[in-house]
Amino acid sequence: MAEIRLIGIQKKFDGPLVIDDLDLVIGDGEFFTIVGPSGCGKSTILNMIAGLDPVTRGSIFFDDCMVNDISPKERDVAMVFQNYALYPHMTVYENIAFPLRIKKMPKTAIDAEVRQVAALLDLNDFLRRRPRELSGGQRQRVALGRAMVRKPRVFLMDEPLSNLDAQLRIAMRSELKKLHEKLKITTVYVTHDQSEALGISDRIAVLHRGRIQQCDTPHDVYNRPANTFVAGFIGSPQMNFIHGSVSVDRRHEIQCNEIALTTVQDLSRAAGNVTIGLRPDDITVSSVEMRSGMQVEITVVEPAGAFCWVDFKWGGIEMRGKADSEIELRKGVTAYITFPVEKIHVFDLESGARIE
Amino acid sequence: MKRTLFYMLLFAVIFFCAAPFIWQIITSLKPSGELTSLPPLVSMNPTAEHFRSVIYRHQLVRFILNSLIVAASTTGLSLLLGSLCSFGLAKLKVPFSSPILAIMLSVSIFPPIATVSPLFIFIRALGLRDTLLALVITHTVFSLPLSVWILTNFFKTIPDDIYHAARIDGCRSFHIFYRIMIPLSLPAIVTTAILVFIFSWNEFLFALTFTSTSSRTVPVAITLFAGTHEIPLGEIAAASVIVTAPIIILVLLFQRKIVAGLTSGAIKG
Amino acid sequence: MINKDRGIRYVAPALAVLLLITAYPVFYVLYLSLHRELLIFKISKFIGPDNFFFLFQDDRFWNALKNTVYFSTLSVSVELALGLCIALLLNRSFRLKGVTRAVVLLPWAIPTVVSARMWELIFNSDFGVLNYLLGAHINWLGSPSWAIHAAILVDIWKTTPFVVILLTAGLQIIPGELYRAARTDGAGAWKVFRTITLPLLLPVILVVLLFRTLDAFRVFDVIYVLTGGGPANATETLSLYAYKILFQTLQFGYGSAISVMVFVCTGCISVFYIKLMTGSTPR
Repeated sequence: MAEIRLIGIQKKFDGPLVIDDLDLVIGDGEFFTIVGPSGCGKSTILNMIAGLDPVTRGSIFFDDCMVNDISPKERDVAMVFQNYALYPHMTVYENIAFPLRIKKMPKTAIDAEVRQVAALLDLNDFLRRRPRELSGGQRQRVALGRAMVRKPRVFLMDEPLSNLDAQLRIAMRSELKKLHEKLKITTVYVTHDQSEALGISDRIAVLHRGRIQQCDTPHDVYNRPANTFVAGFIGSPQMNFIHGSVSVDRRHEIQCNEIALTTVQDLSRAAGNVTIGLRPDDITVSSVEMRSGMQVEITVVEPAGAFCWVDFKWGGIEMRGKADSEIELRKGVTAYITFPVEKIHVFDLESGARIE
Repeated sequence: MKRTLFYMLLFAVIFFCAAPFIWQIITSLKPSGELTSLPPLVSMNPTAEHFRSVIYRHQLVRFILNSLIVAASTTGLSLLLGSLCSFGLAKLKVPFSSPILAIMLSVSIFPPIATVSPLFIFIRALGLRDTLLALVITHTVFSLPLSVWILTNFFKTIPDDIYHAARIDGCRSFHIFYRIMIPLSLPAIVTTAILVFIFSWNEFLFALTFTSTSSRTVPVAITLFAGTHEIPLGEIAAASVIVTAPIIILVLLFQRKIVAGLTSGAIKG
Repeated sequence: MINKDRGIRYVAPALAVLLLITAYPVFYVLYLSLHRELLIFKISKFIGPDNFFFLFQDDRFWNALKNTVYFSTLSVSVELALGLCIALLLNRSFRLKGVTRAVVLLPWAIPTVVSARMWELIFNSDFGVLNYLLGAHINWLGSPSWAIHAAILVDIWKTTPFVVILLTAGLQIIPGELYRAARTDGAGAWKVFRTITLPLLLPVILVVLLFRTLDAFRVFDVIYVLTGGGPANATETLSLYAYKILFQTLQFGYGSAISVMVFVCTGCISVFYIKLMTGSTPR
């Protein structure tokens, strides 16, 4: 097990920088997730940690040892791939045993290890099959088994669940979490699915255009997004963004749509134009007029079981909120919205950075 | 009606392709006396005399053996060099990999006649005239583009992640080559082997110029087949039948693979 | 070290052998073509481009070039037309498809020399089965006007299978929905062929044309066995002429000059087709 430190990492292939000046510390035994839209460079980071791709500049440390020039073999990492990358010509048993055979471990020891891992992952009935005879979830478990059997210092997982169907993906999430709690091996997990990242990790790094936008616990990333990108990327449905303006003399007030919103944040340093962020989750839509409520016009109602997502127009601005499914709302009807003041996020209009 | 027309056309195609073979077999079984008789029909007294003569008097077995040795060694060498090269081009970092591939493929459009004179001088200088080795070398080189093309295309279809997984599991590149890539590519390797074998077995120009007596291959032997007085029609037919038989078996067994090999690349690229 | 598996170690052996046995001869043949080179007399003298000047005044060279062009054009066009018909015929499911495909492959698989020998027997003017079936007395291989066509026929028989295989594969990658869509749009069989099949098959057709034209242009085996270039040089192609000068009269300089011309011609043909391909298939 190891702590991983990335210091001043740069990476470029042929064109521009893919990763620009990245610093990251992943704690010993931590379940750390790198999340971001496709093409943000998250798999590149994983490959550099694995030793499959050399860094252009900067250094990578495992504990106190710099591993820049050390081969994947000697870094003692294991990796799980999106497409599982099982060896198609080997049986499940041979796949799991392969890394140990390469290490020239004695046969009996290999057998014991393989059977132990197989029991843990519930693979005992499939040991003689070949990968193509297995379902996606089973293949996934074989890939995990092959990674686990070596007892590596670091687990690297590159979108390991994204090829599974929705139900299985949710089930495997908690499997992974349980396994991690049992093995306590430092795990670096890459995904583009923000809900997966929120659900599974100890800490999350949100990556965009080769830079880390925010690195925090799932709770903080969701509740205190560092900028408009993180705010928009984390959470589903997406956060609403509205323009507003702040005057110098009013430290807790934003003018927006001819209404003055009172905020908990001190806005004295943000005088001028700002972006207001409001999660649809935090906006309650109702057909009953409330005192503080603002009047809106419903455009789409999308039932989601226990509640409804409601698209509406508030003075010409398209937004989304949440309504009780018991309430009768239709397109074109006038309704009213409320939201708690402390749920208002304020961002600088220019830089997009969070204002507190 | 339409169906009948279809089968008639199909029969015509099959007849066009197969008739010369059938005629060859018929001729090879005719007694010498009937060879030049008209009408040229199937003989009522089939004989094996031409087959006997070809094998005992004309040493056909020896030429077949020569051809087998050349074709088998060529296949082995071409696959060895070709698979290593393809692995490098498809999966590893090679500087100028696309120009290298282009150069290799351009060799396949070289007209053999344009290289035969310098190669002849080269081989004579090395003292390899009339040896099987001379043929193995040239056949290997001229079949390399084919091997490299088919195998590179195939290796490229093996996901990079499998290569990465093996590296993480602790393999060095040569381990990956023979423990992962080669077993995974067996179908493509068999296909390549068949095509290279057929190429070498059939090659004529180099075989004709580099060999004189002891190392003749089958195509040369059949071409230079001469009787004492007249053209030995029956024996040529018998020899043709003997030489064609293994190829027919190969084609019947592996037609699917041959088709796959011939079309690999031509369709995509 | 990361990435220490430098791929060049795997590529180098093949590349080295290839360059040694092909690149070196190509330069050497150029060198030879600028010399008077008579192996038996051990004469080797630099004469500059004289061989080429002589070549351009050599009637036999022009005759060989004419024969080669005629042979290639006629055989390749018939092969393409015939191959396309057979490919369309086979591009459906029927019983014994595998066997049919194997039989169609046979002519391609056997040595060219053997196929020439087979046809020699069939072409025989006195007791050949072809004349018997036609009830004619054509001197197939002995008369200048027939001999080249006999050779073309053998080439067609031998290499149409290759064309069929490639075109069939090309037909199979055309999505079936396209045909169904065209049919529902009311297109007849001919219209479907013209607007769907042919344009989508065009890239494959060009590949086939490239391979076949190059192959036909350097034709040697069939003619060497069938007619030896005769009668009266009526079937002598460039490769055959070069071979005779090289290995029958042992004039390596002049023979190499002819080889260089074959090389230049095939180069031009490749460039022409590759231009055509990159122009016709926008990606």
